[in-house]
Amino acid sequence: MRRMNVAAIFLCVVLMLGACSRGGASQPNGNAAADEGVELTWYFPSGQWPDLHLVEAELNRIVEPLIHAKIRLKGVDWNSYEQKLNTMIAASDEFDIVWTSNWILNYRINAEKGAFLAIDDLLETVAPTLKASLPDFAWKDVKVKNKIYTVPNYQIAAHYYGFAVQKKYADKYGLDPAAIKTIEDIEPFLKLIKQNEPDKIPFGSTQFWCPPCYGISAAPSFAEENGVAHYKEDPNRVIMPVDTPEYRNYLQLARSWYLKGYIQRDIAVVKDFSRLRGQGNMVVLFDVMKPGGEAEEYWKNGGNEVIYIPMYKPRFDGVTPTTNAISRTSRHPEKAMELLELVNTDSRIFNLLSFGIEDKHYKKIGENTIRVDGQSGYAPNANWVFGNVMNGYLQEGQPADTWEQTQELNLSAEVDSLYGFHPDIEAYKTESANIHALEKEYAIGLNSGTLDPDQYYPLYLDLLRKAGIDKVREEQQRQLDIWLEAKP
Amino acid sequence: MHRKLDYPKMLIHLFFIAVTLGMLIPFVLVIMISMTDEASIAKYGYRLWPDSFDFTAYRYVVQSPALLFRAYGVTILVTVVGTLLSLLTTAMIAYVLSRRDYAYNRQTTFLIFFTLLFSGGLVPYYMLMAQTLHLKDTVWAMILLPTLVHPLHVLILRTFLRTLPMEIIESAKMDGAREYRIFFNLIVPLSAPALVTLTLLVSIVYWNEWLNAVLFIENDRLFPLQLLLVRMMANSHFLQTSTVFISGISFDNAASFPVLSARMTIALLAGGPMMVIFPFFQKYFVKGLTLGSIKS
Repeated sequence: MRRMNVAAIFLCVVLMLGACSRGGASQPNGNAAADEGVELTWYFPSGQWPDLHLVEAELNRIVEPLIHAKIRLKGVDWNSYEQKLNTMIAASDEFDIVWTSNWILNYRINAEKGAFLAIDDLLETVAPTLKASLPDFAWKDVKVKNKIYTVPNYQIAAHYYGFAVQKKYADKYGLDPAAIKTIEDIEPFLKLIKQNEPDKIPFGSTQFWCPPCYGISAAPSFAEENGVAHYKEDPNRVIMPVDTPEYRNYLQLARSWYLKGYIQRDIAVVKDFSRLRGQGNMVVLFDVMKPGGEAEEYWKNGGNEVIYIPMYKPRFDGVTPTTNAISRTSRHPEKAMELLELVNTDSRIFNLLSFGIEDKHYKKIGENTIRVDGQSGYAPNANWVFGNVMNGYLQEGQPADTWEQTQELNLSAEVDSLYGFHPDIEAYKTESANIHALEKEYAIGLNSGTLDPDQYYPLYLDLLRKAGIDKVREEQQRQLDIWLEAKP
Repeated sequence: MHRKLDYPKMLIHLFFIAVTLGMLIPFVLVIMISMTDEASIAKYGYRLWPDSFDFTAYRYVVQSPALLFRAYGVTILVTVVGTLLSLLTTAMIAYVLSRRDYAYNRQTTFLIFFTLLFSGGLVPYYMLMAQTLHLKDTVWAMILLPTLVHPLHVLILRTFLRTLPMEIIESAKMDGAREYRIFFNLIVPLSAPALVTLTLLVSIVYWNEWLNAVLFIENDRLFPLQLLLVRMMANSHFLQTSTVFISGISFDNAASFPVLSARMTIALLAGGPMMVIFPFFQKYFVKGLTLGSIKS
């Protein structure tokens, strides 16, 4: 009798759970979907937007008649995106489209692991327009072991750094942008600011270590964690940028700027950098540049006009910073491909996802220009998460030819001589992690001139050697030699 | 009645006043910062009494009150239901283990202790929750595993229950009470101080529930408070710090979003209610601290 009781309670609990899991879930699960029609889930990083379900409803209103599938938009916050999606991929959870990149949820590693579906054939059969809409280098860039696993969200694919100088001071002190050829050339201007503008910070950036300025190049790029660095003139020999005379000289320069007071004293510990900058107190910054970027800098500097002084030619970085892949676990890969085709070719859909609903989340202020309402229920401000940004609206302040300029920059950017080489990090994963940890500890202090390089650089280098920096270089060199040999 | 100044006592009092202030002032500071104008923080730093009050941070956080209230509701539901269920199961397991006449005592204790040392890892856990139990997008994902029974709590409670004399249970049996009656009418009231201490520990864990929500909750109507607040905070901050990779434009957000004061506002909203509840437990908490220590 007693045993019966216990069994009955257990049964009740199990039934209760079953009932709740069905009642609580807002969407029917896979089995139910087969009866009601196809459902596609799309995971992407996003903030908290109360109106996301309105956008989803509107999206389905447009898309459902076209591809006969319902879309579920699953925004996951930026900080937990990687952990959550890694877990889901490892657990072979079912989903259809997933956002992946070379900086969060690494595309190449996951493609090699088999997390994504190879889409070469689907692209040809289901999405010919999408395939044709992007330049060849974009498709070439996303190939892993000769297969395409993801659809790049086409945007700027080249980067270059340089000085962003507040225009009013440049004019006041007669700065000639054309005369600034090397990093050191800006110093006299900083000196003038220091002497004459006591309230302002002459140089605002945490660091201005810029390997390309010193003839150091990297494949696939510096932005990517596993870039392989080398001198431009000596492309087949791997180097570690931190272990070069150029870096040592740079550290001395940074230290001297710091001691002369051009760099803010506590810059190494500042966390909310953009806030400081928003006060408009920083006269010169070392920053990433892009077409139409001056307009953006205008706002970032608290409404002060800015001029760009690029320090080197734009370098091709590839298109993997933002892509959407189809999951291996997708039940309807053709439908997913159809959706990606629509998002990347139909600007109506792209704009809906990127900016929300007209007059509710943004206002049109020109033929193709909008003003986003930052206080509304949907303002993700990240159109590059969804698709080809060149199909979308421009935002207030971006020049009308932004996309043409971007396209031109992409096509004209300097491509590294080792382009296409991706080292396999498995062989030096531990060393890489240790080096990364050391970088976190020392790099900002040294690069900003806060730490005395005579004292701390030898220490840093010594620690790096112990952490295996030489092993990394040798391993990269070994892999590079093999790659070079196999290269036709 | 004239009392002389008692210097040692005064010293002790002063010391504790200082300690109390050391705890109170940061808290007051948090409240004040949450109401300070962002520009004035940037200019003067954190101040105990701001020179201009400003509630933008609150306005930002409460801009979609429906969602916020819902999140509070979810969190309260999870905390109440979770804590009750957790106490019930923990107490039942601990009681069984505390009985010396339970034959498989050692084995069961070992099983429970084992989970304290080893866990299955994130991926198997995810598969169990999402694919076997189908708990995705249900509140049960935040209540059941693994928060429901913490092995350490079981062991603490078992140690406490061992101190109850076996004779009580035997005499109850003599009077004809069955096991359930003994448990609910005798053991539970007797272990009240221990249970209240556990309530506090468990309810804080439930209140701060976040990781399970990140993994399993995708429907924003079921977001708990902590997840909602984290997501509100994360977006603008994240986009500001990774400009290298993106071509997007961050126009007004960067300048108008009150990062510093919003951070404090969120800390208050997330932690505040628990701080109000805490004093009610305090009486028992002191008693509970001696849990597991030897009693005669």
